This record gives sequence, C-alpha cells and structure tokens, in this order.
Amino acid sequence: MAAWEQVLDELVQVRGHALARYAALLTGDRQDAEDLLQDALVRCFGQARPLRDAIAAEAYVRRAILSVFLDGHRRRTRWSGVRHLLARQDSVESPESSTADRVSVEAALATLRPRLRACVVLRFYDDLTVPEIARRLGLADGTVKRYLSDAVAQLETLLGPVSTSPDQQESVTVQEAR
Amino acid sequence: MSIDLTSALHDAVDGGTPVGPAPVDLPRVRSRARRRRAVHLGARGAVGVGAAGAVAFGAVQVVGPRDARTVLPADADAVPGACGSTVTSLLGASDPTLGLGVSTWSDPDALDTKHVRAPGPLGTFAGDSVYLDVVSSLPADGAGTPATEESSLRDTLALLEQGYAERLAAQAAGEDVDQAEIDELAQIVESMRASAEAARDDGVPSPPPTPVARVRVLVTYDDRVVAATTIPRDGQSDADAAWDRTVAGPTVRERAHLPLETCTVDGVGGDPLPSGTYDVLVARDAGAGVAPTAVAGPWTLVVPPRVGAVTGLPDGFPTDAVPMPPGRLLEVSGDAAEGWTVQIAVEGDDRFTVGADLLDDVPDAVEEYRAPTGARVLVPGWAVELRSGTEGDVTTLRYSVAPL
Repeated sequence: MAAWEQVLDELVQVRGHALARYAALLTGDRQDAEDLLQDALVRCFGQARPLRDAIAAEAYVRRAILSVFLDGHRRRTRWSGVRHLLARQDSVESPESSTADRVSVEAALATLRPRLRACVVLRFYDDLTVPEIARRLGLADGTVKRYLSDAVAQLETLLGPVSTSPDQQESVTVQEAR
Repeated sequence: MSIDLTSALHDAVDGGTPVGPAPVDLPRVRSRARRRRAVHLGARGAVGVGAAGAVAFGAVQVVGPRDARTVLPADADAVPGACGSTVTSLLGASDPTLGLGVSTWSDPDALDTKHVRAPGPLGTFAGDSVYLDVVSSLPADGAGTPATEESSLRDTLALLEQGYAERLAAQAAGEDVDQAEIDELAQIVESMRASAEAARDDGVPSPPPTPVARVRVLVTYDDRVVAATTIPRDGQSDADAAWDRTVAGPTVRERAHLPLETCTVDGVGGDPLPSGTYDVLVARDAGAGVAPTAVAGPWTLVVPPRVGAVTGLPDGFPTDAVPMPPGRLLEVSGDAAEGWTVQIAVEGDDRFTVGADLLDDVPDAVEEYRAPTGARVLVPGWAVELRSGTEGDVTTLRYSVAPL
C-alpha cells in the first residue's frame, strides 16, 4: 500500500466521523455530508503530490470540504427536513444539555443560506478571524461581518440567546433578533 | 440559558464517539484518488489510444457498503482486465471514443444512447442483470477513416503534452507543483514523442479493421475485476451479434447484457453482486491475454441493498398469480370481487422491467403489451396493469389487478 493510502486510511479511521460531522454542519444532512467528505478526500488524495501526514491532511480535507461545498456540489437546503428538530432550549440545565445544543445548533445551521453557514462554521469551529474567512471565501471583510451578524441573528430567532467568546465580539456585532 | 456557538460546534464535530462503519467507502475513495492521480501523472502514456482493430473492453467497479458474505474474485496473476485482476495500471485519462449508457431494455426512461456519453451515473439496478449500450466512435467500429498505429500514438502524445503544459502552467502560477513530477512528465512526453516519430519513420502498417467491436463489461471492487461480460459473447456469430448492433452516423452502438454477479476464478463465482456503487470503465485491448490499451470512464452503477418480499397485503390478494419484486407496501385498496390497486416502494431504475418480467414468468401468463409507460399482463384469473412512478424521493410500482 502506498504511503498516501496509509495516510488516507489512518485519517478516515481516526477522524473520519469528525470530518463527516464537520461536513454535516455545512450540508445539514448526514448523507450529503458523507458524499461531500468523499469528494473532498478524493480531491486531496488524488492530487499528483498527495498528503503524507494525517494531521496536516485533516486540515487540507476540511478546507476541501468547504471548497466542494461552496462549489455548489450537492448543496441543498434542508430546511424542510430539519424543521421538526428545532426546539428552543429549556431554561433548566440538564446533563443532556450539550447534546441538546448540538441537535438544535446543527438543525438551526441548516436553515442558513450556504455562505452564511460557511461563515459560522469557519468562525466558530475553525476559529478563523474575519479577515481569514474573507480570504478563504473570497469576500470583503465587511461582507463577512455582515454575514456573521445576519447568521447569528437568524440563529437567535431559532435558538434563543447565542453567546460568542469575548474575543469574537469585536468582529461580530449581534443585531437585534428580527 | 444561552448557547455558546463555539463550544456547541466543537462539541458537534469532535464530541461524538466514533461508532459504526467508516463514514466513507474507503476502497471507493482510494480507487477514485488513484484514477485522479493517474490522470495527473500522465499514466495515459503507458496506456495509449486504441488502434484500428483493437478490442473494446468496459469495466465496472464495485464500491459502497458490501455484503461481507460474498467473496469477490481475486487473481493477482491475471492480466489487467481479466476476472480477478487489478485495473490500476489501466486507469488514466478517459478515452473519448468510447461511451456507455443504460439501455432502454433495463430502464424505459433511459435516453436513447446514440452518442458517445461522458462518464457519469448510470442509475440503480435491482435486477440480476442490466442492459448497457456501449457506443464507440472509433473508425474500426464501422465509420470514418481507420486509425493507424501512428495516429494512435500522436493522439496519445497530444494528450500527454497537454497535461505537461497544464502542470507547467500551474507551477508558473505559483501552485505547489513538485519539480520531480514535472521532470517525470517531461520524460514521459519525450519518450512518447520518440515513439511517434519512430512509428512515422518506419511506416508501421495499420492492422486490418475489425468488423465487430468486442466490448467487455468488467465489474471491479477496489480496482479489482469481480464480474464481466463481453459483446459479442464468446462463440457468438457475427450475424447474431449484429442484432445488438446499430450504426448511427459516425457511431456504433452495441448492447451489452451484464449479469450482476461475480465472475469466475478457478471455478468459483456466480454469486449476486453485493449492494454498492459500481464504476463503469470502457477500454480497448489488442486481444485475449493482453492488457487493454485504453480506458474510458468511470460511469457509476448502483446495486441497492437487498430487501425482503412485500408484506402486509390483505388476505385474498392473489400473491401467487401476481408476484412482485422485493419492496415495501405503500398502499393497497380493493377486494377480490372488484380487483385491487397496490403501490409498493421498490428501488431501482429497472424496477418496471423487473416487475414486468416477474409477471411474464408466471405460468400461462400472456403479455398483452409492454411499453415505457406501462405493461399489461394476463395471469391466471387476473389482468394486471403495471406502472412505475415516484412518490417524492421514493421510486414505486403500481399494480392494478382486475379479475378476468
């Protein structure tokens, strides 16, 4: 087995499910996410000089997931499919609250327009700055700020109050929920 | 309580425990990546473009979740393209002179394949075989000026030069292109250029045109051939094969009947293919026991998971006289006196053909008509009309069963 194939196997074995869940944040659908992940893996490992390090490969694959997604590949709105999952949070903390957050946030994300969804994922999962997101998506900084603001506002209408970490406040001004 | 987006997203991605099978079909990813790499690296140079008189082959690759009980053929010593062999060495740029499509014999909704089709999905097929149309635009298959060894080499050289130029341009544009790759491509191009010039100088004669294009459909998993069929069939006369052949303008179309079962190695084979996705390749070969010289594809073909027989039909429904393919009951109405209307969910673009064949196979059945829009079959005691359709994302069959 070639070296790149070993890296591919290791990456899928160790981080395959996490990568699929990452893709699902963008697609809103697990099956579409797996297709998206597969295309991203082929794109990364099918290049003439393939990846040879699993850790570095994960970052490349995540980037490829975003690229393939934004290319419009199998991009579909899944609002109707996830509407029933939406539920505002209870005011009482419970041991399952983390899981509840995850279900609701994933479902709420799926209602965003693709570019808004991508901005949220890059900002709050990949921890990129606004200028980094702008470069990645080929947008102006101001556009990214507006997208993030709109996205967070839209999420709040579905999820209730949403908090962002303090260092993110400077670049994301959360507007009043509309 | 407010939701912390950062922690919620990290929890969503990294908080889960890896359970169940891998989220992607690794053999399929490996196979597609190898093919992509082969194209990048100009592996086409080692394959070449088919010359006049070549034999055409088609290959299908099995991917997707598999039934572990089925043992797929493997023969490490087999020539690429033969049952059990690996086809990795054949993969490269797709040969534009060969195309593949689903025959209307398997999918009544399939478009008539008159032109060389670019690789893409063929569909989902639940039956035990599928009819495919192989279309060739090679002169050897009946039209145009016969290709020669020299023209074949020059075509290959042009493809390689194009790939080389693209990688050079990418490097010049600042992309991360390894110099070793550039050097390797340069060597391949130079070698092919020398071969083309030598062929021109030597005046290598063209082999005689082959009157019948021989097309083999191969099924592989992880780049390994696991099933195959050939047109014309072994021992089939040209006159017989001509019934499956249509010359339309510059192309020749031939119908291949591909059993969806494993091919045989050392007497072992003949099992239904496990569910999964199959990539279809088409290649040309110089003859038996020799590796194909060019490959086109992949197209994709899906075998759906096997499901149980339809359950839930009411007492009195003539299940013996009206057999149905495996599926799920969606609705049923009627009675034995007035007749029945049944709708079932069935996977497969060939569901109509599969359902109609089952009715035809009932003893003493008489098929009154079969058309893309439906079929009517008289079985003992009942007249059955069959239609295929969809309900949202669900593919269906609708039976109207009337007493005779």
